[in-house]
Amino acid sequence: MLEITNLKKSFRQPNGEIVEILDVPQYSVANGEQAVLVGASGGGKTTLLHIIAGITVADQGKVIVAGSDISKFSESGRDRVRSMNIGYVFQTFNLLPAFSALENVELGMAFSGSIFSNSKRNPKRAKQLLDQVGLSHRMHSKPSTMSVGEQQRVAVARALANRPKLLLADEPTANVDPANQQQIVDLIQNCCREENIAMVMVTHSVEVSKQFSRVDELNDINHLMQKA
Amino acid sequence: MSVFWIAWKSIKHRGFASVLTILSMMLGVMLVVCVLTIHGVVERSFSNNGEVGYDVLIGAKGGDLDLALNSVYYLSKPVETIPYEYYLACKDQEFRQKEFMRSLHVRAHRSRAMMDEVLRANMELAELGGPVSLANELTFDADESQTLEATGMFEDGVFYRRSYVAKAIPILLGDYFDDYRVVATVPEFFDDRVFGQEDEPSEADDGTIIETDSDEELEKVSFDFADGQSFEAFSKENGFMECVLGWRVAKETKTKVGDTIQITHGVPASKGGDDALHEQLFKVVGILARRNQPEDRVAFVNMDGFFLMNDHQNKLMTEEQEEAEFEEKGDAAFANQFDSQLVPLPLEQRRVSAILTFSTLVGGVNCYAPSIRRQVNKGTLEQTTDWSDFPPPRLQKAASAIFPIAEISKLFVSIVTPIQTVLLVLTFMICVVSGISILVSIYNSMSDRRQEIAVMRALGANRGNIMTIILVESSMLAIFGLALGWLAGHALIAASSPYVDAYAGVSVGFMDFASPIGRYVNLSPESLLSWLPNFSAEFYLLPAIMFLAIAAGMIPAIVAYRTDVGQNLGK
Repeated sequence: MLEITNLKKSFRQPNGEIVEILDVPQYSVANGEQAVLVGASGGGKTTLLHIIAGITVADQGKVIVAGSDISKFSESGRDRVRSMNIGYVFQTFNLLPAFSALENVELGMAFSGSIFSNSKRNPKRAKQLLDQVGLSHRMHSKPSTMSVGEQQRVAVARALANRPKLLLADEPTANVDPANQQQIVDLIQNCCREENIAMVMVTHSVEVSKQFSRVDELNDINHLMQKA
Repeated sequence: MSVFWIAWKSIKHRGFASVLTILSMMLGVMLVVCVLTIHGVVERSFSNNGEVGYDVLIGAKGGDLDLALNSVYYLSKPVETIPYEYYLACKDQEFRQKEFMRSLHVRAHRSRAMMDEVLRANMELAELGGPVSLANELTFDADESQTLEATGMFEDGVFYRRSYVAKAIPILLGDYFDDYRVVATVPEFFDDRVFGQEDEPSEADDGTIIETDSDEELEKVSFDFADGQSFEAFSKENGFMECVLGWRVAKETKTKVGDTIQITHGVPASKGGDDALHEQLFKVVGILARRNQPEDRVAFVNMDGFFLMNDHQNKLMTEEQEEAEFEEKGDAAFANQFDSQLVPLPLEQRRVSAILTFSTLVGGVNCYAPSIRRQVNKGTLEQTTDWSDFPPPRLQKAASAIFPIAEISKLFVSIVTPIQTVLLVLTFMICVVSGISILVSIYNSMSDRRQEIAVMRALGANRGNIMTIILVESSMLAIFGLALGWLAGHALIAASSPYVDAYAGVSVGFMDFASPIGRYVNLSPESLLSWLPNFSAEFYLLPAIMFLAIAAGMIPAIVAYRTDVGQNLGK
């Protein structure tokens, strides 16, 4: 599902200095596999997820998502791959405040087809997902009226809305209390399992990582960290 | 349609800001619609009356514009009067003789001594009509007949004799019925006025005469009656005291045919006219159908009746002379005061405010109109009566003649055109401000929306999707503002209809549109815009505002397009 080869990424600082962030010779995730990346803050975890999602472009290397080498794609090509194959759960949920829970989930489907068509919006699936994350009673609630845990559950439902082949979760439990933390992890695990979705979760929580069979240290993957 | 759904949700989310933006756009569009429509109303008000049917207007000296405003629009303060001789100069021998003899008869009737002294020749006055039924058997001797003929009243008037004038209609102004102008005139005022270029029959190659249908070439001003009919010169039932009301006058004063009206001398009712009421009453015999022209706001009364009202008789003596005569004769001095409603005012006591002159057409061309104007303005009008109390120089310099259409055009150019320019500039600025309001509103929201945009990008939206959403959002704001502004503008126009109608005599409704675009831009065949259909300016300006709003939306759309996803997603 995901195969990364010889990935390198650096950023130019405002003072002109170039800082290398990532040097990943090899990293892959199989179909339906659930992988967790753990590492300290500032280790390039989010940048790696952005590169996998096609939001950020690698300086070099191959990134193959669902069989497509997105490193060769233009921005719109990467956007298309993302809209059709990738679900993204953010640390800060990033629900759109103008939309209800149901509409936020529908928004996850809206961009996988033409935005002038409603064909990709599927309220039935959105309701089903919200039911799955235990929020069928909050479908029409705005994010501002929901608890942190509820918001993150909506975010998970939204990430699954476009039936992704790969789910990227960027510290999804960092902002929720321990009780909700477990609920979120269970939810992501179960949903991915049920829909055979591969997953890459970035976390620095040992409690969370313990619950997954595959846990990779970013230090092992990112050669720059090893050099440091 | 996801894009409209997302844009609509965004508009709703920023409810207050969106409402303010829509409101600003709405007010702008409303203003544009009102400005354009008001301009159209002013223009129509002028053009409605541009076809007056007559080509020369003879009235008092002292301002051609005042004369046109008074006589065509019945606006402005009434001008001075001119001698009745000007009217008689346009009439034929029969009319003049009849008027003169009627006048003589009246003099005789009210002064037996005068009758004995002046009128002794045999004359059958019954032929003279109207008040002649009151006539005694009056005769002239040969000498007196000669004297009378020397007055010039037994021949055609000078303009008639020279075939300058086909028809002349006198009008008198100055009085009011309620707050509406009273126009005293003759029954011919309501006759159809057919004018314009008439096609001449042409001769074919084989010599046959081809008659062309000239109906399309000719203009026609006609007066239809909603109820009743025109007043008569003299009716057995009401004498000279009949009147016809314009549509609005009848409606506003709730007057109908058969009612009587009492008019005020020189002052509208709302300005204390009740203290200046004339004693005499006019019987309403007709109500004009709605014309959307100044006539709607006028009460037309019989001129002979008007002459007979208190204060309308031209005094033959100065106040000093009256006082001297009163001291000498006592009450008998007022024996000459004229008070009968059945006997017309003698000629020398008559004045008119203006004469609507229809010049004789030659081959459909009013080539005599300039001659009439020149002769009146240069004071070369021959004095045809020696009975007049106007000495010749005064008579000749009393009047001026104008071309009403030219005056209306001048008025339009001097008043309406500058207003039009100001309105157009104003309209342009309103359009720009409306566009800027959308720009400011959406642009200001962009800093708050960067994260939203980044999230949508992360969910699969591409840059084009994001730009489209912002453009659709600005378009939706513009469309709402435009639609509400259009509705509000037209609703305001419809609501102000009674006032516009009352003041401008032009009826406006909800579905009245601005003037055609050709009034504002040059659509002549040489023009670059000649391909443009001459639809209402609204049909061009409103889409232009829409385009401007969308163009304004491009700036935030580009900002959205360039939003960096990685930087704005945060964690």
